[in-house]
Amino acid sequence: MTFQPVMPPYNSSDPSASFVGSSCLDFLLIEMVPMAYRVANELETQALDAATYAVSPSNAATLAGGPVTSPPPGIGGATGGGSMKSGAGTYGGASSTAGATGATGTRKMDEEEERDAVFYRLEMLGYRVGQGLAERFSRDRPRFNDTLDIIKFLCKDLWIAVFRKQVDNLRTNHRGVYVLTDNTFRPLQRMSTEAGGQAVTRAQPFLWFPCGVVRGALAAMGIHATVHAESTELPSAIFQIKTIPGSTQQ
Amino acid sequence: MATIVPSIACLGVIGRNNNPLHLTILPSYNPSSASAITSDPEKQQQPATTISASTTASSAATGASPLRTPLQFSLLLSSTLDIFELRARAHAASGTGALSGDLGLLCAVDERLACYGYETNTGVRFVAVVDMRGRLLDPTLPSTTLIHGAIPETDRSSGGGAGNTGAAGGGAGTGTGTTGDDTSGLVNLPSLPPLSGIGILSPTSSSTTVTTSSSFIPGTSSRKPSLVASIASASTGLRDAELKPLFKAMQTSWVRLLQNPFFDLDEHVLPGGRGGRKITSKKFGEDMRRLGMGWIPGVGGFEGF
Repeated sequence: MTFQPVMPPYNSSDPSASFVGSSCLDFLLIEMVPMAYRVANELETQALDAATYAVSPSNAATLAGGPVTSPPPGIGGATGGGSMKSGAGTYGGASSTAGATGATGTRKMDEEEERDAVFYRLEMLGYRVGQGLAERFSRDRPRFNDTLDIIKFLCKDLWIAVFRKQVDNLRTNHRGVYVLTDNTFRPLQRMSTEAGGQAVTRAQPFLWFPCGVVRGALAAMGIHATVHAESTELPSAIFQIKTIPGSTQQ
Repeated sequence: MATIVPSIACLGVIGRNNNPLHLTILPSYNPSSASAITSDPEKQQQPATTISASTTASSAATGASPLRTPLQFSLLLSSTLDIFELRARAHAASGTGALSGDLGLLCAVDERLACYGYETNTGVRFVAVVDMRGRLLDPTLPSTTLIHGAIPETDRSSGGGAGNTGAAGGGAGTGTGTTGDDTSGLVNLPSLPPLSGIGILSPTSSSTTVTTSSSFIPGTSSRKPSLVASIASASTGLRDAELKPLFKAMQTSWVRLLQNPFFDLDEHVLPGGRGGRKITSKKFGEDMRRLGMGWIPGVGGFEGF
């Protein structure tokens, strides 16, 4: 655990400030990704099992293939819960284990679908976190008067609160696109593989939760945007924020 | 010497989509219904002994009721939305921009009611409707004796609230005590009966408070005038800063609500830009009520917020 000196805005004069060990946060962020994979696969299996109980194989195929709008009872409550309610809607196909057992729904959840399901899950988790963070840390800030103020708040205050450093570079085309570059992004900082280990690809899922945090924070401050993150070289991360025109309320 | 001080008549929370999220209506002290109870001014010197539990109970029961109906308060909150928008547009036009979300006085409705507003950075708006004559404050009694509705002052904070309030008032009084000269005329409002010596005491603790207050007063007499001065000076006209602690506390409560994992913000402020459900959290409602009851002009800070 690291005990760094406490810096603004969460200083000791803030009566409701509370602190968490940075190692705790790191472990949580690390563990979140495999957890999202497990949840996505498990939900898939259950959705498939439920589908095999359906009356006809054709029904089962459509149920497993298409977006399931109302998950079978027990799935949403047992694993989804809370903010994940809306996330339970999109199941891709079947997981590999379910594909072997379920005779009727032989569709295997391919990588693309699994990726989408996990992305959605992590992104929605981050979205909820971002909303709360924005509400909490924008409290003692001066007022934001335009979108750039909000983005700056994101790059400075929020980034420090979550990743303990500021964004290194911020660029904009002045038409609603903002590119945030962090040269040493904390969640990616300690990653290493042997040469040719496709480290960048494998690091990608770790950017989805921060994506959601950014999107949630922006949404809480009245900016609706799509956020996309990528990494070209390992400890660095690039976040691209595209604000959706007409939806901003600032 | 009883003083009429401002109190909160209504607290409202409005979402980013201009949708009502929460409304708390608090009772105001009403002199017309409480006028049956008068006490001799000569008895001011021994207030603790002149009070019987029955008169305090009846004054608490009859002397307080909400000033308007819920619908009227709701309409009042709706009408403040235009002012919020107008201020935002004025700031945008001038190019300076507001420094903080505290908008201060939004509008004065009549000689009693006035609306104050605060907007968070996330677009949530808090509105406090202040009743300028909503509370009877009797300085001759311990600081717990504030008439504000039928709800005992034990609501304000559990335990040592009495000592804390007095100390805070003393601190504020040193800062504003110089302005307390012109308050003597205000104390004797012509329309008000001399209501000295009437305080609200919770029915359960009234007897014990009466017995202890006679010994309590001499010890605290030094700081009591400053409390009175600060509060009385505030009643001549409320400064915007005096509502700041309230708004900060409301925001803290709102942030806490968001930290509840079962609270989904998108349900209450729909992302599409219109509508949303009201807040149903009981805890939030209780918090609002507690803050509204506990607010006294010039006495900053709420315990636990």
